[in-house]
Amino acid sequence: MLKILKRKKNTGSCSSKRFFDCEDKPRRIKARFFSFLTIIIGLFYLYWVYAAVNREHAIAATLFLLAEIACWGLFCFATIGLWRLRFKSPEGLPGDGSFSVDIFIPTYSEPLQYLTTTLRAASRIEYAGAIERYVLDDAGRSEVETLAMSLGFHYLSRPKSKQPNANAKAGNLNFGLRQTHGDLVLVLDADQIAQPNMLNALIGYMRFEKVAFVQSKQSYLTQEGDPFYNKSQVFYDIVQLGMDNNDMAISSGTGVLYRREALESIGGFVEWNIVEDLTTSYTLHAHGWKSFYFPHALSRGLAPTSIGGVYQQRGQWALDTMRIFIWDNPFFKKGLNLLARIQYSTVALSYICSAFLFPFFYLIPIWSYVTGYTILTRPEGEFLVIRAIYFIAMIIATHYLCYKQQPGKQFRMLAGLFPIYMSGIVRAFFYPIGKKPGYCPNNATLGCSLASKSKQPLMAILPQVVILLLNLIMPFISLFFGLCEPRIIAANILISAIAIWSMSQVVWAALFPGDWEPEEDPDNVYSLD
Amino acid sequence: MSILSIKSKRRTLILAGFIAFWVIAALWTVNKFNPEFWKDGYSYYKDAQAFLEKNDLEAARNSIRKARTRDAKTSGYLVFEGSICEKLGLPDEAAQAYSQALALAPNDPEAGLGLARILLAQGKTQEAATILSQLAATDLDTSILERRAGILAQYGEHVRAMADYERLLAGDPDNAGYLRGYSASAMAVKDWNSAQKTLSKLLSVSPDAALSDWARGQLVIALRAVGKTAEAYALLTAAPQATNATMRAQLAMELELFSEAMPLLEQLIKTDPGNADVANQLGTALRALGRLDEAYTLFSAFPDAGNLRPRAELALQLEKFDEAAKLYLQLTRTESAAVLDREKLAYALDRAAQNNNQALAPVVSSSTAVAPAAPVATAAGTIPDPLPGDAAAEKEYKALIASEQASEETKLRYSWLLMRAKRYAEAYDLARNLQHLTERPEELELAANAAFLAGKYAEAAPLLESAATRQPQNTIFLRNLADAYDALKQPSQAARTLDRLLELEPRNREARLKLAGLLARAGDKRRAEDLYRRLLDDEPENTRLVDELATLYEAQGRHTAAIAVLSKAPPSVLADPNLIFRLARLYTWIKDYPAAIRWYTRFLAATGIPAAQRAQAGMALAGAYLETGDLAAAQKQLQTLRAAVSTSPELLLLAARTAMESKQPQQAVTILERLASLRPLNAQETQWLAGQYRLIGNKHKALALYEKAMTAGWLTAANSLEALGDLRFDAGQFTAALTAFQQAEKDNTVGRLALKLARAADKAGNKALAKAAYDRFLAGNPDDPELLLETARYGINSGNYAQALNLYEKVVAQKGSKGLLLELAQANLAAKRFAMAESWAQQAVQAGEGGFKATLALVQALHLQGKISEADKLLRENKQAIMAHPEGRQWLGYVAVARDRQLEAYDIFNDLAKTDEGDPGKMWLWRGIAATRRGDYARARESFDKARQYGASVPQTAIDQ
Repeated sequence: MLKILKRKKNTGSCSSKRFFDCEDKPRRIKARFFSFLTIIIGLFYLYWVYAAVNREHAIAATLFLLAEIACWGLFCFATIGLWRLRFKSPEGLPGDGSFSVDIFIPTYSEPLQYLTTTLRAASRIEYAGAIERYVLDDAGRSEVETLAMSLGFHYLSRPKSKQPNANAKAGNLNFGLRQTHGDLVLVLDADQIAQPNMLNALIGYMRFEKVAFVQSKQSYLTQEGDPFYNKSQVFYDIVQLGMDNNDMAISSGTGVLYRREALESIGGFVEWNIVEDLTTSYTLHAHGWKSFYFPHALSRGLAPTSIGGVYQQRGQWALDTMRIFIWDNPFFKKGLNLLARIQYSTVALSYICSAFLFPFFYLIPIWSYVTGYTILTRPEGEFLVIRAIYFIAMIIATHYLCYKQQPGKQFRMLAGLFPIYMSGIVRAFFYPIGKKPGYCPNNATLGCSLASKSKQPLMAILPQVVILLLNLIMPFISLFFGLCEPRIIAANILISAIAIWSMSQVVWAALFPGDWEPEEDPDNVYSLD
Repeated sequence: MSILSIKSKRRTLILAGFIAFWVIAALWTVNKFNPEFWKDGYSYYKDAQAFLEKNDLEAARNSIRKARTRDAKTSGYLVFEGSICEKLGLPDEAAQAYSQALALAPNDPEAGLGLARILLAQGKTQEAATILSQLAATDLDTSILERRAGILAQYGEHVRAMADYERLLAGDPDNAGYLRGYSASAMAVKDWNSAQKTLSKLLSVSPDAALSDWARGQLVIALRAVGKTAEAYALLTAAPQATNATMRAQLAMELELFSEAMPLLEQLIKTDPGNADVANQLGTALRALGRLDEAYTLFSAFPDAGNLRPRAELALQLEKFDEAAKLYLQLTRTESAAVLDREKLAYALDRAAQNNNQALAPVVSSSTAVAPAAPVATAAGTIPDPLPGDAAAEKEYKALIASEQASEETKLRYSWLLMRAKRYAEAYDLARNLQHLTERPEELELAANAAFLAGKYAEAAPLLESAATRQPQNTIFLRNLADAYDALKQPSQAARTLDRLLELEPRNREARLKLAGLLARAGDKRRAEDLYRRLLDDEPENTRLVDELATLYEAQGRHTAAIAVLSKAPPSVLADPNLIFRLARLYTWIKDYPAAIRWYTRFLAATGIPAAQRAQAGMALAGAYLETGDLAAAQKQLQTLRAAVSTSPELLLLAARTAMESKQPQQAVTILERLASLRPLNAQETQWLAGQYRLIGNKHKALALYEKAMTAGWLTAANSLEALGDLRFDAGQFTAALTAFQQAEKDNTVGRLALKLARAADKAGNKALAKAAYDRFLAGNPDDPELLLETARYGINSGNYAQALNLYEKVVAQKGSKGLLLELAQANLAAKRFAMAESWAQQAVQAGEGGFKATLALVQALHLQGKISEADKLLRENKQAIMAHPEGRQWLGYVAVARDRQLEAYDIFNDLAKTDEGDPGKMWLWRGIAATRRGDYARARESFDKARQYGASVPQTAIDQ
């Protein structure tokens, strides 16, 4: 984002009054051109594949064709979603203090050290109007109560109020909502260190009456090089901007300023899903509310630092996103416009592709090495040329669509986390609305039943390692034992290289997550006053 | 914001470098294994073609070998290699390449021709023929085609050879060699029509005599093969030669020209006397000409397998059954044996056995036989005994039938065998499936008799009916038919059949007696009675006649007539215990119980009576005693029968009735409970048991049973309903009791039931109904003082004071006032007749009746008459006794108010209100009144509020005060 902003303004023939819109125009034009080109080439490629698939292996051929169609569809959806981005000034939109604001900091089991820093930062948030700060402690810890009171926070706790500790964070927030009366509600996670100007930057957007919430960009403390791609630049610096362009930004659950009226119009935070932020956004949009995205970080907090934590977090996202997709599908959701339906479906489709289609592509070479069969009947060289054109066009288009936000890394993370996405999608079928799966909060100190957290890294990434090693070794084995024609092996080696490249991100990150830079080290950050 | 650290960039670079290295290493390894791996077979083929054009055969061969290494499935590369090898003078390598090509593409002509060319050059004609046979003819020239046709024919590929010859004949139609080759192949594949045409053509074009003889001989074979024997015979007869005499004789035989065949055969056998074939043909001709003995003799002179059948057939025809059986036995062991042979074997065995048995035991045979083997019998009596030799025949018959190939004739013969063996069911099962059952009399007769004798009357009846229709004079059919109908419970049909029989045999007594019985069962009672009477006139001492006539009367309900027949029977007839029993039973039915007792007693005195019948008679005797009221005799008889511990419901019921009649409810309960354990009790029995329970004081069980009967809808009698009401009332179920009494009451609106209804209604809270019922009760002018007292009390409670006091007067008039003084005082108080109340209370106090209540009543009477001071005085005198009771304190309070002792009144009501005794609302009200009069308005308001909370109505006057 910074890089984008640093680009010099090219006023040329641009008459847009939108912030940074003219500067973004060259990128936008290239992105649209190459996306359109990719879609056309993709159509040609799909037709070629349809004509060339080996019908003797009907199952594999059909799966391959469907996988290619799904990938093409996902690209189309992504292009639509990212057709135009909306940028905003880092200063935000000034407000007049006419709204009363409640700050909610829900907590359950986060370490007191983190919470202390979070509360201190929250106590320094500046605002000219009425403001009340609340700690919503779902664990009912006395030390938290003491801390909250000492920092001038109201302390609310369901356990201490003899109320059932149900529906996780959403239930906790709704409990807070019922106890308070502010016009706006700023939600901060218990590990999110807010900047003092947070409210002043966001509150101006609430002058638009139909805006249900304004989500600020999320910033996380990560190991050097962000091995797990926690910063998710593609999402926070591109996708959210595309959604914002349609007034359909998605809440990330923290650093978000809600309008109480909007929440009350849908009965509060939606509780049937664990990921209350996405589900609440979804429901608000379906009720005709709009939402904005503020693309500058106003707080920063913790992210998973191990493959177990990543599995838990991303698995939860995938599970809940797919629960929405399966049990409350965007294409059948009353109240959503077409763009919103596409945007929400794109998220689910990306999980489906990551869980099933990408691994399928990486298993095809192995299948060929072992059986000697090919999915296509046309010469391998022909396939490599056509596929390479399509592939390169897609890379260029993606480069401009997600300009300098490491889309390749994003892709490798998606591909590399396929087991947990696969698990999430399958589990989603067993958890309809009304039957909630188990939940484990991020960076919790309390015991968590999910096995993924306690797994050894190597065991956790065993499927990825197996795919990686098979792609690495099988060409030689197949060649030595004469399982497959050398020509076919040679063609598949190039696909295997992509598979190895894709799997290596997660494998490396899991085994060697890296060290902390001093300014990003939580021990340092959370010990500051 | 995208921030790539140095470490991260380094990591990415290392990874990318590794993957690039791996890709290069992998591709290098592939190329090492398979140089120029990116080139396919076609590329090498193009190279080979280029080399060939340059006449560089070795280089071309190397390139094409690489092509087939790349692509081993393209036959063209192999053919190309084969052609290059031929050019290089390498036939073995060329043949190998062509063979591999053919293995991939069997129809590749170039490969086939190439390989065949090499094989022919090497003299391997058979392999070449195989290869050639797989090639399309259009690709071959004439010489190759001629050679291929010859080779194909030589190695048995006649169809392909014919195809090749056809192509050759198309070019040269009169070529004798092609015609001979074609016809030989056509003959080999039995293509007789094609053979005929080419052989005829060959005969017409061939100048070679030997070839013509061969063609003629082949043509005869072909003509015979298509059934043109006459033409073949004519062809040979047109050119008679000694060499074809045998063939001519054979054809004459085939054409059944026996007279022409015989001289030829006689001539042949003269020249060759030991020629068995000729002898057999001659025998066949003789047989065909009707000279059976000569034929049999000739066949027997040359006994061989070829003439076994004709010998067997002739033996059978000549009725030499033993010999026929032996010959057929041999025949059936040969491969050519047919089903018919086995059938004839069975037949021969059957007949041989019969013949042998006839010699030992002559068989009675009645009707004409349609087949020599069938010893036809028209009824069971005429069927002969089983024959000792039948076993062998049966074995053959069974085998034939099991194979489902047996003819109808064989089945018929076997059926008769089974009939002879008295295996009627099997015989019928076999006969009923005969194809011409309804058309052939012998089959019909067999099936009818078999079914009847097997007891299959439903099946027998229609068959016998048909048989009787076909043979109307045969009485056995009619008799059997009548029996069949009788067995099928069709007495009318049976009677009609016997009528038909009696038309033929009018004096047949057995038939008449049977007819009488059938008429009775068919409902023609009058004719049956008439017939019985006439028969009885002839035979008065015929017990069966007496019995059946009596039964006839019984069935009509004419018990007196039945008694008359039985009682007038001669003593010899009446000595039969069964008739005595029936007579006793008849007397029971006409309710002449003394006579019944007499005859039952006589029956029981007889000996040799079955125990069950004796028990039945004993029970009937006990019942008769019960009916005559001789309960002691009945009890005694029942004890003899051990009725109380019997498992017979009828006997238990009789015992229960006797116990009830004898007023022994406990015994009745025991017996009825035992009965209930054996089977569910019916409505009557349930009510009996309930009643008996009630009598022995077990009201709970009695009520339960009555409720059960009520639920089942069995309780309809008023007394039962009343009993139910009583039990419900006793059980405290007043509303239910009321319902029962109401149902029981119906017309009985007065008297005891009205009183019960009134009590129940009162208890159930239905005052109006209670009052109406009491009124109905009183309308009957009852004089029982207790009932009058109850009614009076009800009157007081229901506010009907005048009537109540009137009733009290009646009670006092009847039994005096002792013990009723307090009640009379209270009744007068209730009726606001305070003076009378004072009088009765005074008497009660003086008589010491009622204790403090009498005093209180007196206080009330005085107080309510305005005699406040007297009341006050009385209260004070008896304060201690009165104050011990809330009611007394209450009245003390009232008097205190009246006497304006408001503080005392307030305290009294205050205590009473707070103890919640009596009516707290009322106490709070009076507390308020007392407080108001004292001027303590705060407590007054509090009291009135409380009173209202308890539902009391606070008069405005009290508040105003």
